[in-house]
Amino acid sequence: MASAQPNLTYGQVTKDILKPMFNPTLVYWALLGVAVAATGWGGYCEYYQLTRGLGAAGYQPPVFWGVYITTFVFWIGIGHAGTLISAVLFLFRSKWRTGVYRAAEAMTIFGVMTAGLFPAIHVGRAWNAYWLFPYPNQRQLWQNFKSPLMWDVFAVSTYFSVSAIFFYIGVIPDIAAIRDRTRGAINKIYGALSLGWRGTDRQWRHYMAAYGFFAAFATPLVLSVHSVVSWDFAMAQTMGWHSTLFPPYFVAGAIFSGCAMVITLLLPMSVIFGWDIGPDGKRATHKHDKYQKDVYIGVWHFDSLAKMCLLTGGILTYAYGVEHYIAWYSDNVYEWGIFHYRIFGEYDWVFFMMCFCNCIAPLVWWVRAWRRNYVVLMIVSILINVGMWFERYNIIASSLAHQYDPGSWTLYTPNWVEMGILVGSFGWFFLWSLLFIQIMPSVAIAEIKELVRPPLKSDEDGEGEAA
Amino acid sequence: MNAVFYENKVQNGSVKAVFSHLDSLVYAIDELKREKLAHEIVVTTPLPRHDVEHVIYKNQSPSPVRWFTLFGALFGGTMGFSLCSITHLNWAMIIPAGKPLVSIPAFIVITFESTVLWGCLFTLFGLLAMCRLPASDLQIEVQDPRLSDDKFALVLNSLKKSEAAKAMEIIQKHHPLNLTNGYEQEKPEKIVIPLEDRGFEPDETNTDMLAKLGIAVTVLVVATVFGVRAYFDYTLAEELSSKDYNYSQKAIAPSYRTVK
Repeated sequence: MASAQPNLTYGQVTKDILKPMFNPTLVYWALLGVAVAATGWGGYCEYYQLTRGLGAAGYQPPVFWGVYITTFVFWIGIGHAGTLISAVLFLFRSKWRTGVYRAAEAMTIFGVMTAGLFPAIHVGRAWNAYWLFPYPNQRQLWQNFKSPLMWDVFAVSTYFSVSAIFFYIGVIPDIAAIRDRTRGAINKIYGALSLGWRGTDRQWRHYMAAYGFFAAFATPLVLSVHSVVSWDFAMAQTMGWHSTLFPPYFVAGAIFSGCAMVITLLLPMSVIFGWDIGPDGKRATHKHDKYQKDVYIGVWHFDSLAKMCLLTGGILTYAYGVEHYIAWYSDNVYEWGIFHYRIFGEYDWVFFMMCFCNCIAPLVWWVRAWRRNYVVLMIVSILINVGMWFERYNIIASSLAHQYDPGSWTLYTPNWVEMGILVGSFGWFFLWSLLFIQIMPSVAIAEIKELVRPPLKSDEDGEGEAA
Repeated sequence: MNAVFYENKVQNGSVKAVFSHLDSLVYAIDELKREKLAHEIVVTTPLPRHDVEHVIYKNQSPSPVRWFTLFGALFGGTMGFSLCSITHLNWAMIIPAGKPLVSIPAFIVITFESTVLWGCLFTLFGLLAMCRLPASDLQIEVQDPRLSDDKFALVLNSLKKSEAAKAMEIIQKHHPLNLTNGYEQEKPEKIVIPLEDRGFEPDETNTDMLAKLGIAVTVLVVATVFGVRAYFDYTLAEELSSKDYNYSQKAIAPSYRTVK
């Protein structure tokens, strides 16, 4: 096999990837503290809303979908890159996915876990959130399976279940490697989590077959979940929402924001853990490309992710243009009115934030050197995430604030409770991500070994590539 | 406590060989199969290797996990469509927008999601069943910590004494790192993994760190929630309360519980 990482050995891979685990530094504790504080703040805001009623949120009738639904869609979107990288690129046998897929998959799980909180927060009476699920009950109450909101419950819960299974199956051989290097209580915990995995020929045979099926199942989910989320809007008769463009537009946006979040998360990790240091002991940056494919996570991976962002960002920019064109061309005054309002009304700054962050900022990545510059990568990836949140806010708030009856027009602005819960959601997401990098290997050990040339007797004997 | 110990036990009737080189392992398996000594063979590797699978499962049909997947997907699709249809046929009051009771386009989404979900769940079940997982009692020979790192092992089971001796002879030709015959083993060899090869600190520190991490997160969450709550109770919330929830400040809307 052609090796992508010719200078590594199996033993070195295990050692390098396990090294950051169980080894929290002062910076780590500080970041954990910030994440916990943000989570606590969000938790308090939710407590405040629960005890005082949904009136504590800043809803302005008829705007009853605000920051919570915006943030729900945002976090669902963040999860998309994980499945794309782990499943779709697995089926395409893309080599650069190997370094980043574990962290991206974990990000999917945490993103969907965060998103999953928002329907319960949004409906106010969170203790009744289980009514969303269909089950036989005494109230003669059944869900309407023709409603896109019901489809969404199925889509998101299926997405979470499949992503969680896919992630856990992928991590089992690595958990077994941790188990084999520990003793005592921690050995028992990882022993139980590894399910007794030993890497026998029988296990690997069924494992690889099943992994392919999981990838095949997860692939259509990448397209379906955000399509279903987009139907929450597109199936309604609201201006600015009722469009067949929404599914591809939302899917492209989700992958765009997800890939940007992978860069935001992985770039600092790669620098801190030294995963971008080449065999010569130097960082494989844009000035030093020779070993770019010999590192666990480095410019090669970030460059590929930036290219994904360029592609999906281009689709998104095109979709923005098309939806405005369709609104104008339809000659429907209500439809064109809402798009005009988005650009020139009270929400103009939201629209321009969205356009700047999603359409203009990523253009710097057309320059190869800037796709490989860590500072540029970090700044642009954060801008994309900000822009993608504003995109959802732009769609939701403006359309609801200006519906058909001018008498009901209002201006919705989130209040401190909603913003607190938004901040808390970031804290919650980063809290899980930070815990993950300490207790699980953030790079897939077994899959990285597949990129390494296996130890061969014929090599040692100087017989060339006999095996 | 500076190293992980492992006792390289091999049972009577078994032969265990540990290899450092993949090609040696593959050649050894191939020769043992030709000599008909590999009727009960277990090969352990730290990563999936198609060359190993090929030499062991030559001319065999693919993994039966696929049948679990197929059945799960068919079951899920049927269940998803049935759930929607039967519900709407039995509770006919749910007729939004004049759509037919059983509306195929509207039910396709849940049918699809159910197909994927059950397909995955059955595949997971199939995988666990075929791999015999969860397992705590896999044979002792494969419970070797080196095999999840950089070594390959070959274990032959149910061998007669003569067969074991012959297998030993064949394997020896392929330069194994360790070769043990269960019939001849008197005292298990102790395998030591040096600390520097383990990647992280010893177990005591790990357990300690996990406990600290758990306590720190719990304390921080509790302290933050109660701290922020106390802060608001005595500042902003009090102020808002005294102003009867002033709408113009957009700070808060009253609910039926808080309006005086």
